[in-house]
Amino acid sequence: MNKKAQLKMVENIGVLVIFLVLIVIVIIFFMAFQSGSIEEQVSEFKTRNAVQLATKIALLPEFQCRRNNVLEDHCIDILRMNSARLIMSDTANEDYYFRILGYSTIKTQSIYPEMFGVTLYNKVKPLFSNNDTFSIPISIYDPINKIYNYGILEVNVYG
Amino acid sequence: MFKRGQVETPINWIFVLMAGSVILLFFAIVIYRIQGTVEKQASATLITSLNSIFSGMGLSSDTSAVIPNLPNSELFFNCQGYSSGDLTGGFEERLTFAPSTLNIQPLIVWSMPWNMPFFISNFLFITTSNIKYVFVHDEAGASNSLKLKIEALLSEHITKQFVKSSSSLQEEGTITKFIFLNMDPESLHPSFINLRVNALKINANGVVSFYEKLPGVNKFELKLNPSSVFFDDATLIASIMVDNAEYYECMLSKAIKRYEQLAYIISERVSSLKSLVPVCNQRYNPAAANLYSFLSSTSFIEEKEEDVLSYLNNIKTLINQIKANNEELPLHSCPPIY
Repeated sequence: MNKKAQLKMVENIGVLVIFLVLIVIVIIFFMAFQSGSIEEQVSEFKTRNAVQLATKIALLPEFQCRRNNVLEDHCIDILRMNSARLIMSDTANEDYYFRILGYSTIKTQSIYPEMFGVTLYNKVKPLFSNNDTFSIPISIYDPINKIYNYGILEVNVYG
Repeated sequence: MFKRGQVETPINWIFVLMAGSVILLFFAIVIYRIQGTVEKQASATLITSLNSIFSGMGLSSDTSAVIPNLPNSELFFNCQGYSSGDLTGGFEERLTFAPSTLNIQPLIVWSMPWNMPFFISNFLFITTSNIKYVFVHDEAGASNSLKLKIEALLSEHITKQFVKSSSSLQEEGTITKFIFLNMDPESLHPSFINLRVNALKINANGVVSFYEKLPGVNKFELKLNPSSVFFDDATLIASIMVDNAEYYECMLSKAIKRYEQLAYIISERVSSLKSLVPVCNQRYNPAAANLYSFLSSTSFIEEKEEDVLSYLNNIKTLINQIKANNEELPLHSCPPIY
């Protein structure tokens, strides 16, 4: 080949290389943008998961206050709660509750008039990398003394 | 031999062809990947949306809704969960009853509390208005009572029809399920001959039997022997919603397991009340005894129909007794058992 043709060939290869480099840059930029968006979605999902879990627990019939089978919103019955702790820690039911509650720690904290705290469920993820905590206000009903305590339900989800 | 200029031109064209092919191939791969991802994303979005809908509806009792704007796709249900395309969604311990296959446009989701007599869980019923539930009944007392009960219980959104004879009803292009109320399955109109049709026989005594008619024949065959049972309104509707006897049995056994957990909690609650409210100690004894009998009678007896019936009668008596115990306690200023 003559020099002119060789030059043209090099020029063509150069254009192709630049074109490919531009495509690679676009792909890298796109992936970086996507990974940022995925991280944001993961964080959003974790928070939503903790909120969902707190709502789910407040509505579990194991703890709920009911009068003639009518649900009292965001209310936990002390006697049911104490019985539920026994059944939830029983090895025969461990899998069942793990499928609902996963790796999490669930506590109730009565603030007024009585002050006490109870851990309802505790399954810590081995070597967890992060955890999200979410609390919701609840009533803790004492059916013996017919008293509603003001308290919070604290959910800690391990990721 | 070729001259230098003659060789250069074809090489340039080969080079252009190769480079063009590489570029085209690159974009073809990118488009193919994106298309695959978009399809998976659509299925994943559908599963996530359905999961949110089922979770939300499962938490509220006595709610019925037609879910609009869902993409037109087919869902497959079994006792463990549901699937759309390659993706699956779990029921997450929700007691869900649905036909084994349904086209989700338009989807009907309906929840009903299961009280035995204390609240155990919400039953979630999933169906579509494309499925028509045909109830065949006669004028006899038991059949008519079942008809009136079911008519009052069924969601307004469900496509239903009450007829005196199944053979007079013609096929209308929708999926039809026949439910025979306290009567044996009858033959269908000849327009159903080439279709697979599901049927259910509901006996007033609490026994349900699942039937199926295969294409080419005009006779229903029993699908699962021995027959299954229903305890109350919620389990009665559950048996109507599913078309698969194994699915019903499996979900019912999950429900029984859940009931055992809750009955244990209520039983422990009664023990605590007995020791913490000494004035009412004696008043809790009948409730405690009934709960104990309740907990020890949960295993299914499926060998003989008379055993099933005696088991059902026993459970129904205990439910009524526990309910009466609970209603009586506040009259004596004692905290109720549930």
